[in-house]
Amino acid sequence: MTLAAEPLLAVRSATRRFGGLYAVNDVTFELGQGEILGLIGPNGAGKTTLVNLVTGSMRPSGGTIVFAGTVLNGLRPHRVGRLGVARTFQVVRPFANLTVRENVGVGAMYGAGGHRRSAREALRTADEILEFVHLGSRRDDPAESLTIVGRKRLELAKALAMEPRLLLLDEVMAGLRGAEIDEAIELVRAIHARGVTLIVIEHVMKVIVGVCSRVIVLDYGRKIAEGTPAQITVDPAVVEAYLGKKYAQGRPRAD
Amino acid sequence: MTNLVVLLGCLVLASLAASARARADVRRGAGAALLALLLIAPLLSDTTSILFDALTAMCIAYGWNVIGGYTGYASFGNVAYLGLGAFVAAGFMSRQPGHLALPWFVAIPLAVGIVSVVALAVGLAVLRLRGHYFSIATLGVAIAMPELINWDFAFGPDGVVPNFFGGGRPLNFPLVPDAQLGGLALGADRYLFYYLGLLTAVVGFSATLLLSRSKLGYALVAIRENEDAAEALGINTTAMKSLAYVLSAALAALGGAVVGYKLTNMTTEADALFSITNNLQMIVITLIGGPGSIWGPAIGAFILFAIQEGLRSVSNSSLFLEWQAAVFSLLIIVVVLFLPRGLMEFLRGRERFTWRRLLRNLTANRV
Repeated sequence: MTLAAEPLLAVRSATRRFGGLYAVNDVTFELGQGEILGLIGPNGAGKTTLVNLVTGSMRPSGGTIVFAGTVLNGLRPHRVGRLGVARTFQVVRPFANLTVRENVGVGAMYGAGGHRRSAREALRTADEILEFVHLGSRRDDPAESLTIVGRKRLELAKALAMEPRLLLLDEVMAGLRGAEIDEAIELVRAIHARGVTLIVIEHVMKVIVGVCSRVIVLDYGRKIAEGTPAQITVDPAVVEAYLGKKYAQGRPRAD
Repeated sequence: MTNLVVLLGCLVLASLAASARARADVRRGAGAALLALLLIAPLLSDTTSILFDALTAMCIAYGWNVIGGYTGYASFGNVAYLGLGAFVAAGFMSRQPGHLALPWFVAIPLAVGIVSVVALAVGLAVLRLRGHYFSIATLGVAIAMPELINWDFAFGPDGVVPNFFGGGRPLNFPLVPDAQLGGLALGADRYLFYYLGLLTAVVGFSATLLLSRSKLGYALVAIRENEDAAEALGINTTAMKSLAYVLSAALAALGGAVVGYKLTNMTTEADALFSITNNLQMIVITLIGGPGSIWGPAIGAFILFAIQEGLRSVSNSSLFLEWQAAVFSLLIIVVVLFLPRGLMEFLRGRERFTWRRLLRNLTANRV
């Protein structure tokens, strides 16, 4: 795959140690404007830690992370957010005592576009985004009254309200079922169509195959494979990471 | 007795103004009537002392509400800024040798400004802590502040600012000549102090009203609800919390400075202004009314002082004052257990008052 001359996000040798444990170990990849990159790996592979490094929730122990020409290393999360990087949390975190509308409004007040909006304008922006994620009818309800599906949509809406150029989705499909997943996939495609570059962390392979143009596989903090969804699903290293050596040897090679 | 009626009238009007179930014009009308009642109160009653206490306590509680209610950082140290505000204003107003003898309308805003700067410095340090650790650190601030104003190196007889706080001797600041503003005599001292007290309450209320509709206000609530998620949304949590802490301290200092002015003399040795009771009072007022709400501290203050006045008129003794700290502590426990969002919980319109609701709050693991 060819990338644009200037990648939107360049991660070079990103490393994060916890004592002697390497949660993320020497991971390098680039992401072009307008891509949807899948990030997969077994539990504990370091996917969320990698998201935390990009968004500033954790400082890298080594390596550099460059977003749109700005080095993100050492920037606090709110600075990264204002540069145009938004994220959703694996465990969704609505502001429980605020209404749905206010939750999204806070994103519109303080994200990349927040400086040019008053509180009132931000709440109007929130209304538009709530229509986009089909939560318009719930806008005046307290966020804590939403079901898990509603909370996932709210989480997306909050991130979108920040007007991000890059959006990192940390398992937004987890806990959803059949038809709900299809709807969520549609939503991810619609977000992409708005011009947002995406990194999608998912265990549901249907989602990865359905929306991603390229996939990176992590295992024990290392990048073990990179390629199209079709390539990585038959990659022996990937199969081994998920199922063990026995299955990796028993399967035919990709080429 | 008149004061009890006024306080209860204020309570009813404030509750009506706060009630989400009332029509918008009714609510506005109730708010206007409340202000009118408070404006004419000195004409109805011979002693407005308890109303003055209620109004200044309300301002101080509005201050606690910013950091403890909106931001969710329970401060046990705001009494430090209450006391500091009182002593700094007194230091500027005093007519003793070496003091500037500034009029109150210069000294009090100046004191609020100085306390804000002190609070910013303290806030940047203690706001690095979250939860219980923040609360404990602020408790340290409350204990350290009376020591600080007794610090010989800075404020002793040969200090940097010699005897600014009286150096252990009473700090006198005559009030009568000050009771004139722009040549206009404001009349008896009682009126001056009462309306100053009312002014502090109006400032506290207005600041909270503006805050609740501002971007800063939304940021503070987001921080209370989930600080990490707030930060990820682009909120500079350190800066926002510091602003909240400074605003909180400024309102405490404003209330404290006016309370101190009414004392007309004070000494650093008898530092009742820094007492734990004052600290408990602002918390209990906010919690009874409803933390993180516009009307909560007003409702809480009217209730608390109506109880106090009611007990005094019944028993005709200072029974309440003697047991004040114990009563406050008990009230805090009861309110936190049964009514964690204060009486505003029932005025917001979502919940009706039922005993079952109170019991459910007891078992719900959530504030």
